[in-house]
Amino acid sequence: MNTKSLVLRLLPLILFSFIIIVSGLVLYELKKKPTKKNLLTSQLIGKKIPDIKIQEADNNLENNNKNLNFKKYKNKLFAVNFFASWCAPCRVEAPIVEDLSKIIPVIGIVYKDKPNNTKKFLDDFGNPYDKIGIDNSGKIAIEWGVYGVPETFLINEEGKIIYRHAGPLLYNIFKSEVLPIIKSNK
Amino acid sequence: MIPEIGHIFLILAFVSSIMQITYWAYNTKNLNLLALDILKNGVLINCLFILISFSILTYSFVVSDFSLLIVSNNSHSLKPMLYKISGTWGNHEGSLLLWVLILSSFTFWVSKKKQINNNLLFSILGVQTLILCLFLAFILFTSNPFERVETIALEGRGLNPLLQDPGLAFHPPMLYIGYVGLSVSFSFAVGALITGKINKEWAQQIRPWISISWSALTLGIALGSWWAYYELGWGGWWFWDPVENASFMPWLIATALLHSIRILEKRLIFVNWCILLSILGFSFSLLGTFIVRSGLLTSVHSFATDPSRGVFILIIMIISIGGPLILYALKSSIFKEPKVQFNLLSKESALLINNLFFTTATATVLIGTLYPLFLDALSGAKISIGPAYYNATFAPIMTPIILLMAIAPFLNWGKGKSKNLLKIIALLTLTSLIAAFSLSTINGSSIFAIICGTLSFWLFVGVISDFFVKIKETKLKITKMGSIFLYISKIGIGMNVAHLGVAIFLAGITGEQFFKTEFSGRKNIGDTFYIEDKLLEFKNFQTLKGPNYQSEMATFTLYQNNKFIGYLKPEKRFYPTEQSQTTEAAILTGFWGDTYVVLGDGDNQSGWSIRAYFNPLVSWIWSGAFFMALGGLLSFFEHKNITKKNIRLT
Repeated sequence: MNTKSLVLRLLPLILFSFIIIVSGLVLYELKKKPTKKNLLTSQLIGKKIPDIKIQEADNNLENNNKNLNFKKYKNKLFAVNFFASWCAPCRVEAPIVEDLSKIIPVIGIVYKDKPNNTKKFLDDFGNPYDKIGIDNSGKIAIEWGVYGVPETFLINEEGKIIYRHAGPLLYNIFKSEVLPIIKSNK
Repeated sequence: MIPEIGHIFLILAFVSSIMQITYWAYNTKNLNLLALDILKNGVLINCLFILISFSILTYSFVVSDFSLLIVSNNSHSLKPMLYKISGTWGNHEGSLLLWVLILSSFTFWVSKKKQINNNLLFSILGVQTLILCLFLAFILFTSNPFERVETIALEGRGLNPLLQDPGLAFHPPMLYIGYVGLSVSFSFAVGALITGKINKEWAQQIRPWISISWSALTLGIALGSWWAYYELGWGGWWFWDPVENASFMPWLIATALLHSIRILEKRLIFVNWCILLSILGFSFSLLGTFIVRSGLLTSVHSFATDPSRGVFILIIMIISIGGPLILYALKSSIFKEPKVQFNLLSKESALLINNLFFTTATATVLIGTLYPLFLDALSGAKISIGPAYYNATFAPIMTPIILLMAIAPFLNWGKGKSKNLLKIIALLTLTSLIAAFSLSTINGSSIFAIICGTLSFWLFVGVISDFFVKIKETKLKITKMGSIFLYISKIGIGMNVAHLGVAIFLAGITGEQFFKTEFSGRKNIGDTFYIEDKLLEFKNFQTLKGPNYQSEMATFTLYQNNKFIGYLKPEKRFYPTEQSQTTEAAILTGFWGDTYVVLGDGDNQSGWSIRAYFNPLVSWIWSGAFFMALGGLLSFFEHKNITKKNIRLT
């Protein structure tokens, strides 16, 4: 075998190795850069709460044509919890939301629900909410970027969202994530 | 529970493929028929397991099982059924599962071919299973489609609205058939390197796989381009985007291979070249997957970017391409080619020039695609290479190919003198001169428009005259319906149809690139405006509700020569679930051109911003591609008839 033909035979391999090495380098660079995990869940963090009118519910959980007013909570840490009576995980998290409401005020927003059923749900599992807003159309949930009920937000003194949890607020999450945030913000 | 069954079957397929590879490696030195049978059954088992797994994933999408991560991320209960099903492969994990499904089905198909030599078949099945195993590992370890979520979402996030489109629903499966088809020719080449034997039968058996994957690639690319044309609302049909290039490079290599394998089949020369091209074809498919799936390049196709996946694909590439290339460097010298001589004016040299230009074209596209990447790695500078580069480099390479394409069919193999050649060239030159002259009289035609249009005409005349010469030479009469196929295979109509497709495609490009007229401005209800000789009247504006979107729709009436032609209804759609907006261009397709209207922002007072185009002959671009694919398919069937040895004609 002469050298010329050997070089020709090795040429594809050499070119291929070159491409692989450079691609590897680029990948390494990409890996070094911090990649944001859970881009969607963190999207609202650090932003002001969405500017959308929410109808407040009266004692019978009917629409009382009053807008829910967040002004009362200015300069206070508070939580917003999306829930519905038809949602099973909401029942699971009910006692923990109750615990949460003993530390900071919690506003409930009832998502696509019938007033009667909501009332029954609150009678059965207790009403931890300072105020309750109504989201019959699901529009508010869209504005807040809610993935599904239940979902919980923490809002700081400046009215900015500092924490979001999608899914039931289980006890270990409450202890390991929510409580430290409340402590550091008090 | 049901998704777990799918997951288990996927794991089973992975384990069984590992077992088969071990068995294959162990038996590859002393092959017996039993070992081959075992491997064949293994191939069937892999295929069935993956089919079950894929069906279960599809089922999860159909019933909107949001406990699966990819379903909740890519589907929505309100989505139309077609897009629920196509949602299965509209995401990274699912599309890889589709990839392995097609790969295992192709492998099963090869295993059923009786005419392939046992030694070769054993190697082919081994290599195919190895690739399958690597991809199954990739799916299971980095992109598991059956991953569950902790909290079940009530609704999915929906499929990216841009992808909710019939053109795009079938774009990935078509491309994958093309990519994976090339894995078969790749395995044929590796098999030849392992067994050390190559002959004309080898070339005959490999050719249908190249034809079918070439056809599928052509269709897949055309579907993607068609989608970009009417869905993205940019008015273009090809953007030299890295992801487009990723599918275009395997196509260029496959085209070269399709032609060079003909020489191998006829004369048994260029053996090493064909082997190298077969390896390269699949390498470019893998490179395409790598570019698309690793997020190395940012493009309009913003897929999930995860560097760890990139590392895995890099490893797959090193094993499955590096290995064969080492094998090629070591063993390709054993293929002794007969020293044959041929004329400069012969089919061989024409096909060789074709290969030379096609590989150069591939290199051009490769450099354009990877250069920004390398520059980024070495200096951190971010650049993007646009159409200007490709117009300057790619188009000149294609011109000689087209010139040659019309003449090559009239050339003879070997040293034989070609009859008619001078007559044909005279005919082509004369008709093309007339075509060039008539093109130059059209308003607004440039020198490039004349060149492009004339090339199309040159090729068209060449193809048609070749067709008639062949019919005259074969002197066949169709007596029965069944003999039509024999007739077709005898004259080799596949090639003519594919080349005709290229001529139509070129005519489409000429119209779209050089004779397009555009209107852009603000118009209110009741206003009228002209594009070319067409009058458009803004009739009304309304808001509508679709199944999973809200839409703003404008209606335009199109008149030509005071005659009503049709309505154009461009839309802007808002998808609340995905929080995104799409532009639906309104297109009135005609034989001679498309009227294309895009609705922009606006309101009742100041009017809406409107962009309108008249794109002459634009639909010819995709019809051309369709003819090319059809030609490839016809030559696939021609081959079938030849191998069945029933060319006994009356």
